[in-house]
Amino acid sequence: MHTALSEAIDTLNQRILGKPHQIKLAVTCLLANGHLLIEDLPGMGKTTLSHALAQVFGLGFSRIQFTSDLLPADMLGVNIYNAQQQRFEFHAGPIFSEVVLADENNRASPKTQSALLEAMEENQVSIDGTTHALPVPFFVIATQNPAYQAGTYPLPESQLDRFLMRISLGYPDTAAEKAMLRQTTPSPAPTAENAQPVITPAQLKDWQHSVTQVHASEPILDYLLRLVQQSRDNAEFPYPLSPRASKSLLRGAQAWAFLHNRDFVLPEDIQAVFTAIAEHRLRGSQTDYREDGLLSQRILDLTDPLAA
Amino acid sequence: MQPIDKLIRNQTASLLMAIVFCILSISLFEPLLFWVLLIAVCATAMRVVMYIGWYQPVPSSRTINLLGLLCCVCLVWFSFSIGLLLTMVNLLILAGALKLMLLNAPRDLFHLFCTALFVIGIGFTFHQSFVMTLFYGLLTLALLVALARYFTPSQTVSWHAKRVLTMGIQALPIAILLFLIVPKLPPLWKMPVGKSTETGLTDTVSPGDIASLTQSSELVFRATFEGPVPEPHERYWRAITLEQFDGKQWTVSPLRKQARQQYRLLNYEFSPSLSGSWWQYEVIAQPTNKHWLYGIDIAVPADHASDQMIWRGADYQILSESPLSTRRAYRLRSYPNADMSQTLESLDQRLNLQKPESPAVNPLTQEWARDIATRFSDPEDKIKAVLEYFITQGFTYTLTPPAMPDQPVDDFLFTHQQGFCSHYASAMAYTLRLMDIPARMVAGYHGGEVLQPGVLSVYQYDAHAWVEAWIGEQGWVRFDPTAVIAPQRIQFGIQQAVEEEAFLANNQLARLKQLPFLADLQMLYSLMDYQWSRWVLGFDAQRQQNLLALLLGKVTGKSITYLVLAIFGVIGLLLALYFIPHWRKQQMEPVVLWYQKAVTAVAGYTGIQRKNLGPQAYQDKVFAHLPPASSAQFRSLSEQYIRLQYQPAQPDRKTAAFVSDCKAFIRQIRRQPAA
Repeated sequence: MHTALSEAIDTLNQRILGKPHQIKLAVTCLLANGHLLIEDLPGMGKTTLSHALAQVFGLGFSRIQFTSDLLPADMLGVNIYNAQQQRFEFHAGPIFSEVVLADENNRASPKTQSALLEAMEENQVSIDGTTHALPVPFFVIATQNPAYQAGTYPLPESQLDRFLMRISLGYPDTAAEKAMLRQTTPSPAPTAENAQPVITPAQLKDWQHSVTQVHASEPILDYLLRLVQQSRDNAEFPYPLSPRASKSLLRGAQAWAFLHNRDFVLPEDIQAVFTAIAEHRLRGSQTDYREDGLLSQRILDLTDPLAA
Repeated sequence: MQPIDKLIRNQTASLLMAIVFCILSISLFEPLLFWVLLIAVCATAMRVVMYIGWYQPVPSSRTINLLGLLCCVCLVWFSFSIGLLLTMVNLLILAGALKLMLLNAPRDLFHLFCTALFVIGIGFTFHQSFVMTLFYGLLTLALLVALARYFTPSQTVSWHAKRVLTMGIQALPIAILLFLIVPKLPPLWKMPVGKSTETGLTDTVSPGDIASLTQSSELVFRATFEGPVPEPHERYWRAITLEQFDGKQWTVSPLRKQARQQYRLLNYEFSPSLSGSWWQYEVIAQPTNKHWLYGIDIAVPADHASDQMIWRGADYQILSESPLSTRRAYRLRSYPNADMSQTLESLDQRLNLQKPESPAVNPLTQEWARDIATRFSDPEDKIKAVLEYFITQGFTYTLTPPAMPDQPVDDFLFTHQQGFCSHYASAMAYTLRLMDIPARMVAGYHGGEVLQPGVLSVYQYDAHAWVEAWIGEQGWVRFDPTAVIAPQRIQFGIQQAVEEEAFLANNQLARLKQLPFLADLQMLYSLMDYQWSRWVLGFDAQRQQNLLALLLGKVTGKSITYLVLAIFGVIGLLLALYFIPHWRKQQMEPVVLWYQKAVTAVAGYTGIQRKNLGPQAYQDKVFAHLPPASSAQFRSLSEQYIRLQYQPAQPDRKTAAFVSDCKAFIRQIRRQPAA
């Protein structure tokens, strides 16, 4: 298959130890041309993962640290009057980058959050009546602190829906953590400067296009719709899945199949990405993740991938 | 995640179901014990409070279990006094109410739904009127709405109501067809008889009893005559013949009961020869939980079904084989001019000369009777003398006679000289017995209101008592002292006879009847109820036969079978037209079907269920558990399946090959010894 792709994943696995599944999901998200939300406690390697992703795929990277006083202009950029040329000049903000890490996204005020989410949806920003296109590919990795932490504005459901996936890294197991400590102690971890990109942006664009070509047969679409329908018909699920969610599911499954070197989608692909794609949409903004069982798992359990 | 019980608690569905259950319980006010009703209402109140959110915690199941245990003990205690049927009804409501308190999983909601449906069924054993049928129909719809609401909470209640109503209306024609043609089988089990709380005649009559019945405007029965209704003075509806007198009360003679039982054992039914003109009519009797039926003398069953149901007693009383626990219809033919002489003369004579022997009981009456007996010798003259005494002494007819506790007949005849029909009948029958004329009292109904031409409604306030005396050749002859004292009672009914007194004084509804508008309305309701009981409740095997005869001409087993089959066919066809498109959509493709069968075989062999695994994942999981030959085969099957189902369509889809491979695989794996 794409040797380069597996090589990239290997590199990422060396950088973030013991999280192969999450890394695969993150790459899937990138291939599916969607945005990624990482929800975790501080210090779990959210930032490291996004750094590494940008760098391995050879993409330009910028980071916006969200705070409660961050304004949209700080992120998008401003028009500044150039006295010599006697006109306004646009100074692009940090969002004009291929990979944007929106760190601690839920610490910013809703106004700033919306500005980011608008940019994510439209792939362009408008400032003072001028539209500026964002780079392609444009990949936002937002991190979010759990909602119960102090000083957070929970993302509303409508905005959660725009993230293709939400993943959570979680604590590494002891062996991986030990390896990490060993790696750090003698010499500093490779930084963005010294690591070599494995993949060129052009290749990434090709792959993103190939993902859309992965075949999803009639039975696969039926299965996907049964899953979505289950969330709508069953009173157990307070927030049913939207059509955007089903679109995301299909794209995610296609990317997962592509990652596994297949040109058609299997039910297993949908199942693999289902929790990452559906859970945050099923749950709404306020509730915590791991309280009791996953809603998405419940839907999977209730639905037979073969015929109804 | 919200716990499921929280969802159930906050749902309109459970609130709606609770309210329906409450209304249902209240509609069963009469058969229910008061405390059971109270628990049902409390449970509903609890649901409402939870729904509004005033108080959230559900009582623990331990609390409910304890409450349930206590309730059961109480119910067992009460069951001795209320009988089996009512105990069971109370138990059901109790169980429903406790379930309502505990409602916290979808399963509980379904249990409650089924219980409520059953309670609606039970409701029909207590109420069968048209209005109640409508009421229960509405409650059924409300229950269905609640259930639908549970399954799709996103829709509004009115949307559900509309949908349930539409479906109900669609189902109605099928229900009507089935009602008309499904054979009316006799019931599979008997309803346990409840202890009656109904007002009405009892088999012990003391003179005051009938007077108190006049306070009730409850319907007793309706009669539909073929032709005009009889004249008012001919409408004597016999219910019970009372032959035992103890000085105060009249009862059915124990000897008579014994004789009746013996005849029943021998299956020897009393059948007098009949002559003269006759009326034929159908009676729809309200439930009384008693055996006796109503008929004008001499009444005989008019058709086979009625004959099956009726036992004719030698005292001209007609009895039902089973107590009237529900509304019952029967057809009679009455021969008013036939002599009631062919009866068990010796037994009748013996029973009807019985009287309290002691000279201390009603001494004045005894003396008076002796006096008349010495003056006249002919029985008819003696009777005439008694009736004349009533007229000449200025007796009056009243609903509220003074109490006569010690010597009721003496006090009535010589002191107060005012009374109700039963006072006159009792006194007269007793006096005749003292003069050695066999006499007895008959309790029943007299008169009735003409609802529409040919239809007579008889109410409790039409209760009446009269006298029968044995006169030589003629046999039993009816004498009605009331007709002598208050002829208007016989001609126009009780309302006219006691105009100035407080007729139905305690009955607000009846008083309202005096407003013409309400009277019309009540008449309309009576008519509707009459049509309902006649055409729907009264639609028995006999009527069904008649209907089929009308449709088919000649009713033979064969033609009925064809008709029933044809109608079932039509219903089936209509349903099929509706459902087949759905089925076709859901029908599995052969590929999926056979793959599933292969998977079932693998699961049977390895014990690993597929659950929600996809074909690839399942193949990986069971691979090591299958015997080598089969595992390779199953892998190839899985690959084929994936190719057929999930890969882009190839020009040669080898479905048939796949199916035959599956079959071969299943055969092979079945031959393998179990792992």
